[in-house]
Amino acid sequence: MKPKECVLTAFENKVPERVPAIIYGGGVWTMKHTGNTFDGLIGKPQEMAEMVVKVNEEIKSDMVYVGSGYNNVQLQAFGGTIKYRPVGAPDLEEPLIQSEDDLERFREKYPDIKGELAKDPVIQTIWEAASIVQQKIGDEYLVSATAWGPFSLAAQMYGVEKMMQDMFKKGDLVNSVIEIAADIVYYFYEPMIKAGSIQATAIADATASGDLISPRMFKKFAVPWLKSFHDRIEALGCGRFLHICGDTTKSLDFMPDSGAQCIALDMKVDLAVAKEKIGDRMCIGGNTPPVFVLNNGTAEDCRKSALECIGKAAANGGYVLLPGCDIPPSVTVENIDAYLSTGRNYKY
Amino acid sequence: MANAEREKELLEALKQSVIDYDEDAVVEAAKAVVEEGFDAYTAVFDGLVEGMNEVGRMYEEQEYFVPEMLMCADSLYAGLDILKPHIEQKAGGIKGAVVMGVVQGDVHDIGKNIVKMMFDVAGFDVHDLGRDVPMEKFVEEQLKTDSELVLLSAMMTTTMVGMKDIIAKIKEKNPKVKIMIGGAPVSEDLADKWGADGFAKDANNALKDALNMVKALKDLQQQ
Repeated sequence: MKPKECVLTAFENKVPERVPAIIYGGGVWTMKHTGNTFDGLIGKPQEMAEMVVKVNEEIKSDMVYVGSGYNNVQLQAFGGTIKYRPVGAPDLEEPLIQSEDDLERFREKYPDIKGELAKDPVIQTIWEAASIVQQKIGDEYLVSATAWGPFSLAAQMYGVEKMMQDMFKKGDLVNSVIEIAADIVYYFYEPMIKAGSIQATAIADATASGDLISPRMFKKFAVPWLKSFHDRIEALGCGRFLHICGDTTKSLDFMPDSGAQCIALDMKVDLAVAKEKIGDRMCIGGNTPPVFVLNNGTAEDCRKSALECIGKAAANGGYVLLPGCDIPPSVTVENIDAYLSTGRNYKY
Repeated sequence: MANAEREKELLEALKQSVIDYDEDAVVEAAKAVVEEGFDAYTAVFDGLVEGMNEVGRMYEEQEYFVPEMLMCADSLYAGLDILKPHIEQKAGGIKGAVVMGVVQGDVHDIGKNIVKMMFDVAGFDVHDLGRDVPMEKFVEEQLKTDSELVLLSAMMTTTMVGMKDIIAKIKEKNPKVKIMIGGAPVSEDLADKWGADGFAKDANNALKDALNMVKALKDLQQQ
């Protein structure tokens, strides 16, 4: 089985030939490792694609992500000012919609979300880079691209703190902004899927974290939009991968309702508990601590942690080995390799 | 007696209204405290802060989450705005200055803001550098304000590693400063390893951690 087939088979909650082993995102790590910058690659799809390909020759993740770390940049197409910096991923400077009036103005100004995205130079770069990566390694590896989930992107548009409060006070307004965010995320992916550039989406709903919002709010404001987004992606015949941060133990039962095929869990969730609760309904991924083990541990620690995760959740397939979140920029190639190769060498 | 009962009633109203994130009720009770001549300091600590303590407990037990806590914090601030001008400076209370901020590359500042609130309430001079703060800024601000405490926050696995250098740099300039770090990806081990003096467990515990920090600092000052 090719690496790509191992991942997609696991996504279908079936048993692949071996444990699929991947990183999540890795954009900030990749920039540091290759000496590139986020703004430096804009308008250079060839270089962006070569970077992804070259890095994966070293770390051999079964799944690769084009445009990782650019998640906030989607909002540039809608009047957002993006701040690039020497360290870390680019951010949105100011919120875009905080009132009914803002919402009205936004809708009037940007009736064609798909069209606005297509005009943006960063989005164009990612779309072209994805196509090049697909041509180069897409036969072997699962090519994807990263984006925030609708809830998290909306929180960027709205301002996280304000949206958290308005979930109680102005639920309709919050939902309207999430609906727009869901469209932005969908139309970011659709052209890449239709062009055959990617075969899976990779959504991180970081702000819907189990450490930030209650299971009740997660069910009300995050799940329905993940579901409608993933349903549209499924209709295009594409793989669906989801990561949610924080302790989501109490929300595990909602995960199959998200429409994703695979849920990548944070290190705070016990994989054995997750496997038992929802393992029959969807593929589970996770969840080695990115900092405590991958960054601060030895290669042996990484191998040990990989085996521990596999022991908890890999039985009967439907499992992908990956860190509990994105990796810090200072993780060594040696540790990543020790970790991922442990998964690759684990045959069913 | 009637007076003491009335004060108790108002303190209870302040506490409960913070818990219920009922801003209007907090404002009403705080105004009554001032108009009826009760001690504003007592109203803040035995009313508002008691309420926030309970919120912290509910947070620990995953009854409340960040949105609920933010609204409780808003209510507390609404009461504080009314009561603060009436607090007489008491001798022996905690005095101190603190520099705080979220490290470079990181814009997640909710946890930091909640910690800030508690330091505000406790009467600290808070120098809030905001989010995405460059390393030199922490060092400069500490020197400029001669603060006893520097609080660093990071919420992302991709940015937290920057804390190590900031701690070294501040300690190099001024070894007496106490440094506390916090944020979801940070651990007690890391705080030790990187030479910080204290550690705040995670975003979920920001409030409790803030209270602990204030207490720790009190203890330090009494040493």
